Amino acid sequence: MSENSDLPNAILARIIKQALPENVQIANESKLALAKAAKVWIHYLTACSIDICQNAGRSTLSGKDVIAALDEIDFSQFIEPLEEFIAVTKKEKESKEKENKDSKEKDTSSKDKDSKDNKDKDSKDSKDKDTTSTSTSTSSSTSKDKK
Amino acid sequence: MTKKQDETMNEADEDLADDTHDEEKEDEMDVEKDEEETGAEDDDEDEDEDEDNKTSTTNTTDGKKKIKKKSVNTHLPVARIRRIIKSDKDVKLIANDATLLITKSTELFLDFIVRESYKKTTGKRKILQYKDIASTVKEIESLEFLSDIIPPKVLT
Repeated sequence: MSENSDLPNAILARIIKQALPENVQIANESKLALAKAAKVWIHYLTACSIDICQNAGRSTLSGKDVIAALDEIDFSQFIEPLEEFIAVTKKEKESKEKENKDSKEKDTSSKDKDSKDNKDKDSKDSKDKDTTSTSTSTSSSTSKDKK
Repeated sequence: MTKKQDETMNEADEDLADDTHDEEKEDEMDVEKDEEETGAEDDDEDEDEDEDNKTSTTNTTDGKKKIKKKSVNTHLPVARIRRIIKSDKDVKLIANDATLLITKSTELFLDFIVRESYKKTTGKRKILQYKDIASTVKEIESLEFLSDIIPPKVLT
């Protein structure tokens, strides 16, 4: 069972495989080394980002700190693709939120229709009851007269 | 699957983590959706693949759309990476953006180091060995932080 503090081996293997040509394999030793490297990378980037964050007088690690850290550790080639990634992620979120809103509005409108229908039915039922009651009263009165 | 869900639930309670919690679920959802969707949204998927090619080069251009790039979602689990980030005592609060960026950068980093290491094999060998990675770490300055983790092996 994989530890919770480690990255999932299957996903790591997939990422590594995608970076290599199809016919190339990777030794198990190499996979282990890369898994360690990935974990150390996270710590390294985090440490650098936190330094930048604290120097700026903030306590919450933000995306800007991470971008600045990448520049600091000579991995500025990652900055552009990451910024694009963030931009696209935001767009997707916005579009999903719109979809959710639309679906909610549809639900509420359909519920309103249902409630109206029920009200109409109730009113009809009540009217029917009134008419029957009046008819019975008139019939009783006529019967009395006869007597 | 359940463990992942438990992790995400815990993390949501602790941090400003609601978005990643949703993203984790969305990752699982996307896996199911990818299996269901066949040809309905091909245009959208093509656009997404183009965008992904800009962000990270992949070899999924053989018409094998099984590994349909989940548009803009990350491969690595964001919650687990947040846990690794939080193991640093200096870290108190992390913005959602930061976690996403670190996750995505890890993927880019792995891609980078594997490609550089493969160049060492001069394209002849078909197995990427430890020594390729170790020599890459030694040569590239920006990988110096890995020099203790991936040392060149010393023959005893």
